[in-house]
Amino acid sequence: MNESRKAPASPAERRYRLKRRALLAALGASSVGAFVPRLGVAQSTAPIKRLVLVFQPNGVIMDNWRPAGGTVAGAPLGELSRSLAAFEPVKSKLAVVTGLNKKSYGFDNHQQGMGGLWTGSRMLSEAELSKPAPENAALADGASIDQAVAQASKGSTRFDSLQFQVDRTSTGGLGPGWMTCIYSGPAQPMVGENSPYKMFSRVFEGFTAATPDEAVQLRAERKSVLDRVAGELSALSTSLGKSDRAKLDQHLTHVRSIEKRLVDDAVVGPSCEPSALGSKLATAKDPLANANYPEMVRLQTDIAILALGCDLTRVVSLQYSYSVSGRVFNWLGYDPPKDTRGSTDHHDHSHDWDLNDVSKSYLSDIDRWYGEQVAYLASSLDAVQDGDATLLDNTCVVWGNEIARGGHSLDDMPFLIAGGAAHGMPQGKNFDFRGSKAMHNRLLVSLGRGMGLSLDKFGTSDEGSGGLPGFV
Amino acid sequence: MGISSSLPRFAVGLGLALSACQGQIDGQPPTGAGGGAITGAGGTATGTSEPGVTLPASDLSSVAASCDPSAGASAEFAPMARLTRREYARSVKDLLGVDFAIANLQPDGIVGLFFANVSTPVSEAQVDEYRLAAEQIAEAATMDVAALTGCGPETGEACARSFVTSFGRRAFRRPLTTEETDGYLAIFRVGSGRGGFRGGIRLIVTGMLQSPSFLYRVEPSPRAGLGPVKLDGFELAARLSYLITASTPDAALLDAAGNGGLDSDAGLTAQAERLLASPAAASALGAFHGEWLKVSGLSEVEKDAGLFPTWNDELKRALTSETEHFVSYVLGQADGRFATLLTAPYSVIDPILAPLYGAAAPAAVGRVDFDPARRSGLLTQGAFLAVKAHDQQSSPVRRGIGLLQSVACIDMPPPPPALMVQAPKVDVTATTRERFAAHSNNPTCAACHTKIDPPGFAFESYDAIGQFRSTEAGKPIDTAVTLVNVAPDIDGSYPNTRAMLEHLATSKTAGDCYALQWFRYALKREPVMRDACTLKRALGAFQTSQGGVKDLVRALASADAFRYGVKEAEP
Repeated sequence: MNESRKAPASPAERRYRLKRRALLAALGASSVGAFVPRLGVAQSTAPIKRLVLVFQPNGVIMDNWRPAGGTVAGAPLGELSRSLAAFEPVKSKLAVVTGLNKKSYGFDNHQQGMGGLWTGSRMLSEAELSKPAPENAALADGASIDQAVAQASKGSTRFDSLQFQVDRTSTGGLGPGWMTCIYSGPAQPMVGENSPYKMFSRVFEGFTAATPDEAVQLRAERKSVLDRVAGELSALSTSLGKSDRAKLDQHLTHVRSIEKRLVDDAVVGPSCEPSALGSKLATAKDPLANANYPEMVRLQTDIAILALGCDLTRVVSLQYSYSVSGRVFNWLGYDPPKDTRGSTDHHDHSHDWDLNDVSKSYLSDIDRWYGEQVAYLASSLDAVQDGDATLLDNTCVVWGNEIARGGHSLDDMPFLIAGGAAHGMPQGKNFDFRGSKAMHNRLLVSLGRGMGLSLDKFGTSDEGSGGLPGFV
Repeated sequence: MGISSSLPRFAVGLGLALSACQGQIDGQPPTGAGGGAITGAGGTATGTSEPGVTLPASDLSSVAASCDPSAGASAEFAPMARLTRREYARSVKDLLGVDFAIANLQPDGIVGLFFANVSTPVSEAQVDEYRLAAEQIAEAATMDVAALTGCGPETGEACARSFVTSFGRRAFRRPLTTEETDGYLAIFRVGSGRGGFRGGIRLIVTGMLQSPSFLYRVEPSPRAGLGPVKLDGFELAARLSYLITASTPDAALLDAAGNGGLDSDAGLTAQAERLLASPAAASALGAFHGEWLKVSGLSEVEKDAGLFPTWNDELKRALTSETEHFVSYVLGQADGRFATLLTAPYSVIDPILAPLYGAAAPAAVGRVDFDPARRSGLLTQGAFLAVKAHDQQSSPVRRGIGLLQSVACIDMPPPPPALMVQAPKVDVTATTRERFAAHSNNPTCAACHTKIDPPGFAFESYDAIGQFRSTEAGKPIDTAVTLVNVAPDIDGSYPNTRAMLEHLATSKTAGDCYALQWFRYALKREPVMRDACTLKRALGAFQTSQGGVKDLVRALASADAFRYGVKEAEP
């Protein structure tokens, strides 16, 4: 893979930019309108581009999801479908993409769909992984596109990338190949953080120091501890054998990188204030309880928006639940119906998608609910001014799914791209690639190109070349 | 599609006829395994470790028989382990009295059925978690800094130095070097800049909890020699303490480590004995059994609220505690035997579990006796039965696989690729057993499920949360089963659950498997040929005591593999 690398900005440049790239405290308030649309300096150079990948499980009901009138060349986006209704305010900045295919390579479609979604790679079986692994342990054979981008722009921001998850990150039975879709490399899943409380304190650490003196003292304290720990790691490492040494060396690399982030580079913009959101997080609730799911989705999304607005990271993944998720949607305004098995859970219903209208309607409402979450994200970013454009214009938000629909196939995958004008993403377009046999790797190539990578293929199993027709 | 590379070895060792399932096994045969024959260094001491060939449970006894005590100690390279979440939390509690929720740390890796962090390096997010945890714990621990340090109101660097020395020795499980003491005193001075003495102590604790000497079980001794090297007292003390109490060594154990008290068999055994009798051991042994039966994920198990309205967090917590209480009771107050864990017609339960078991509620957590025809030991308790079930119905498959994996040490391959794996739909006119019959009618499924399903059907008298039932869909439940292709000493027909479990509990297969599970837990690796004398010692003690669990643990703790280390082979 060819990656174009640009030299990261010097610390001084970064500091200046961060201080000026401010987002006001009101960001934490619940309504989108409370975002204060003033971020950043007038930009003489090219805008800073961001990438956000959003995941929803269990396929969609395509009849109610795909807007009518799409073409291979991209028709103007007309009336929005039932499941996409919430995108009305940002409709002119959307590219709806259906009809792309993924390949199963003989794996379970949920599993391959999950691992292959952003990596474009096939899964490695347990035998190929050649190490003791938990059950169902197939893992994807390559990095995901967000990580390829993050690795190419290493060191530009406080976090090279952030992985948000909602819902469980491990279960007794499903291996990590089912539970996460982000990979730093072959067979290296990056399990995200599923607690907004922990995520918030990690991302916005240092923003709460009461006085400048206190911040200086805190930096000195952290530096003394991290230097000590780093010294111990290197000293200890020399007294151990090869494999143990490798573990400590890896640990040391992380300590150095954290130290760089917190001590050398601890720039806390005085006007990028996460306090309002912080106060919403003051009372912790169980992040895994079914009833708390909508709140957790919203909190994680808000943290992501704020982190992007404060320019603490430019690469984000938001994984809402996981493949075969069994969430029960009690918050749609009616009691969840039972499927033929008597179950009310999302995945069970998805197996009945074509059996009865009850399941079909329930599933469509679930899709619409997820659509509302992504639309909230897009609209919130659109409310933040970023130079001459909005943050949404400079952020490519991509919403994907591990499988296509309840029938669990990998053909005709649903994708929606919001924003990304700066990336060269089509605006206000409706693409329908059915019949073209185009693979979703083409979209991944376009996403990478949009973020500045030189790519022709993406994924270890990419059998085609180039970006998606009509895209960069 | 593939299966874990350990399967072919088990398959060969047990002489299984996998027929159609064989086609699924495309894993490479283990290096040098020679079609299942055991190779590798014998009991002799060699320079460094050789690639070990792991052994199937069914071969443990014959390997143990090859032990040659005159050949000297033998050991195998053990990769350095990072503390598991539970070990971290328990150590923090014992060191500082601070309660720490394990959910604050990312999940652990796994060796066999057990949590262990020996292979995957930490991620940056995890290092960050350790840092945030250390800062929060240190803040809480120094609220009453006088109590923590024993220093009076007149405090200063002299007292800080004594805290560094004494707390450091406990946190690092060994005395600090002069360089370390000076280094942490320098940290104290930085921390004193904010909040004076307390700030300084707080920063010492923050630092030590992020130190590799706390987070990792470091054992440098084996690097010093060519052959097996006896671990030093402190390294051994840490192994012993994390094995038996899942926590950091206490003061008495550290003292013994420092004065040579662990050098002799007698001294080591006495400490093991002392720890096994401690309250800390009771919950750690309970936790071992939770991992062994893979019920540690119980808190995340959800059930259909309409069918099982009583299923809630409180009930789940009570079921998790039941495992601990029951194991602790059997090992402490009853006969302490493995067989009893699998057959006891009683349990030790919280009153809120009484309805689930159809028992009279005890006044507080206490023993309740069941109808022996209805309950027998751990596999008939709610934790195992509910984890190994679906949200609306039982799962003969999960229960069968669970029994094979945990009790008989047989791993089953995952189903073939592209097979839509879904439990059969609930049908009010048929029993679960009838609905799962499709498995044996379909040749693709039957290859594996003729082995999996029968032991699972034996638990059909328990519903999805473990409540006893004698009918389903208006028909009587049938728990008579015939086990085939599991192991020669287990195969056969059993009229009901209890009959099957009673036979299993005293079988050689289950006994050897249980010993193997403890070996994995204790050493975080698979046994190899050169573990012959360790296995002989462990199996011998287990057999002599007629399946005494503590006898097994004590024997393991005093065996070569536990007391010696070998450095890693390097090119």
